[in-house]
Amino acid sequence: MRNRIIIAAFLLFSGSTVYRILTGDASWAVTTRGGDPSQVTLKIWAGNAAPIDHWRTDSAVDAARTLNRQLEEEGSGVRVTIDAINDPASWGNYKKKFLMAADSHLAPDIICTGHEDIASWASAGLIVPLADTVAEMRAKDPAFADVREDLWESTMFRGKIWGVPQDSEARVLFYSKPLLAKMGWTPARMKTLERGIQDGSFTTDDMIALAEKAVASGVVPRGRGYWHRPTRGSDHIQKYYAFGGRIDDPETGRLVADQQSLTRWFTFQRRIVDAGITPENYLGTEWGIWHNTVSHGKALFWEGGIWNWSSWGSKYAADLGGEAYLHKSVGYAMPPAGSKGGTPATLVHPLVYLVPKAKASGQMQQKLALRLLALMTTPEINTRHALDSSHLAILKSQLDYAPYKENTFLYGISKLGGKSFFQPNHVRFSQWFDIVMGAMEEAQSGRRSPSQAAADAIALMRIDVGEDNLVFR
Amino acid sequence: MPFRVILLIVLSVPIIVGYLWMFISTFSIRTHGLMPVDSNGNFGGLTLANWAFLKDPVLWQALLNTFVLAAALTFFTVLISSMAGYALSRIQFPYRRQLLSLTLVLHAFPSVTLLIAIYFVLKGLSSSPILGPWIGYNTMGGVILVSVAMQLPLGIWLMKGFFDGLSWDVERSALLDGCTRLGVFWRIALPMAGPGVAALSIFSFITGWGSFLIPYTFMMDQGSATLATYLMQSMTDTAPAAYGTLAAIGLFQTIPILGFFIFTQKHLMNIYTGGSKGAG
Repeated sequence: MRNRIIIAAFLLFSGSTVYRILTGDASWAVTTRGGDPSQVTLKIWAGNAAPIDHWRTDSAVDAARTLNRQLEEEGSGVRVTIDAINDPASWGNYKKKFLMAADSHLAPDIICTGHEDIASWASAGLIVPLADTVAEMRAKDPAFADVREDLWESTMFRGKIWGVPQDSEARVLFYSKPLLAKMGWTPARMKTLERGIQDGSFTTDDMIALAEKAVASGVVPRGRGYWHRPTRGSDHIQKYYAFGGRIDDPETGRLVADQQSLTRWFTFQRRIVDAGITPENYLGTEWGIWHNTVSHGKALFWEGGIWNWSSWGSKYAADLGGEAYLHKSVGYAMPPAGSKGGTPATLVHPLVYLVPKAKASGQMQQKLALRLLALMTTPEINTRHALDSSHLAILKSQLDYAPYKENTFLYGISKLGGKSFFQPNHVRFSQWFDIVMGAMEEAQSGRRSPSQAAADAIALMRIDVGEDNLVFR
Repeated sequence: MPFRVILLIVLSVPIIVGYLWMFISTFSIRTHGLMPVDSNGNFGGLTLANWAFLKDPVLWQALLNTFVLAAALTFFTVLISSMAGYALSRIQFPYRRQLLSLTLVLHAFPSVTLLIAIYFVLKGLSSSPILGPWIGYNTMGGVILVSVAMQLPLGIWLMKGFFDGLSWDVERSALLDGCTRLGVFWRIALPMAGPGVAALSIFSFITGWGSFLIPYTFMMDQGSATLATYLMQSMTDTAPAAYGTLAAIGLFQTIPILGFFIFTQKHLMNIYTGGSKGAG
């Protein structure tokens, strides 16, 4: 008898659970942050966060103090506390975790992520639109009016603004001053290199020729003339852009399938290997080796994100003199254009703060979250993050803010000029990106010819991205 | 005999070198092979800075969480696997063979491919009465439940193998003397399968101790982070990995495992020599 009761109870429990799984009914699972309505906890997440990026969430704690002061002055009984998570997991795991949390109404009130997530998360109804136009956003708070105009573009999707920029960076061409000096270049001549890139007279062809010369004259060993990012990543898109390629078409909002530009880009990727300035089988080189090599000036040219600068100074080149050593031995300029007279361009990948909808967070605190974001968007707060993690100013006023101005590296990058561009907020962009990265690897490794790799990429785009989402050039 | 020793030494060299590198790296800014070097490639660059993480209170919270997860995973895996393994080894019942095959199929799936499915199960469990708040999504109980489920196929097969190897005579004598099935399992079979229990305990504890994906994905709060999550902080995509710190955290994470291994070593090495009279 006892066994039957146990079996019946087990079956009842299992049955109700299976029923709820199959019907998607998990209403009991939603545990919102209830309790005293005057005590509001705002949860904020930041992803792929190294310790040096801690201000992405910790700034909210400082801003909450100001917010509480303001609320007190307004006579409001509400007080805000912050629950901040600086998530170290990879972007993929972080985003998966957010989607599950949103499905269970446990998403944070503010999430910091790459701007490219706006398209899919907005389409899925997980985040709130913040304004219809940039002007409307700027009018919401003086802090938002201070944000660099170009950065709002990265937060736009279907004609609305969905996020507040958190940081910004650039990917530049670094060069070793001692190695160029060995080739007879004076500091004044090195300046002409930077100027030449700016006016389009120094192109990727000139860079390859100079690196080949360095290898031929024994200034650097074979394969150390030019190092790009050793793994897949957005940085490579800069070269596609340098050779005339565009990711999206502003008029139609579609992604671009440009076989000619892809071929030119892939030709460059194979050419650097054939020229002996980048090693054969270079793709996949371990990041530790890469950082040690470039930060120690053992390659003539390398391209990378400016955020590496502080890590090179504090870790890899710390015992060489840190940032002082870097300033002395490492130069930087915009990545050169692919043809004479072209404009140098850098890919900017802003992180943005997004505000999840009530159905995702289980909370009705979106207005308070936006108010907190305005208080986090100040020159003082953002400069702390910029200096600690080597990121660029997102506010116009930061360029006149003394602590930022005194950082010669960041201020110098901010003043480099040239053109910056973003990856589009398009729901099929990740498919487009994976295709061109795969084709680039095929071309650089020599498994496919550049033209064949480009043709394959276009064919794959037709299938995976869909012709309805493409403009062919 | 000397040849075997030499062969063993040669085969062990890669593992020993790996551990040696990890140990040296924890006290170095950088290494060239096994030699700590300064920026000029000369011997030097020794530092204790890689161990600075020991002052971080988050580490100790992560340590406690990891211990709870690993201990609970070990306890439930051993308990369920030994009972299931004994039943599958000694009792004939319908679909026994099919059940065994099914457990193997479950083991064939890497947990990353099951994440979404597991999420829906945990979300469903959250809505179950009474137990929901303890074993559902965003609970340590839920993470333990999933981890145990992933570990059970290996455990059941391992324990079944150990029980298959035990002499039936002793158990039969106990049954004839009036002992119940459960009594035979608890008083006779389980002690005789001690090496199996020890082996499974170690495997389960190591799995729980190094577990990342399941606890990370299904727990929301910072306070529920495990050591593996903590380790991730040293190797994000956006900042260059600090290999010295990484090695130090790795070594710190390994120490309890080594302790656990040393503690259970005598049971592990005792396979087929204890338990039943005359065996061995």
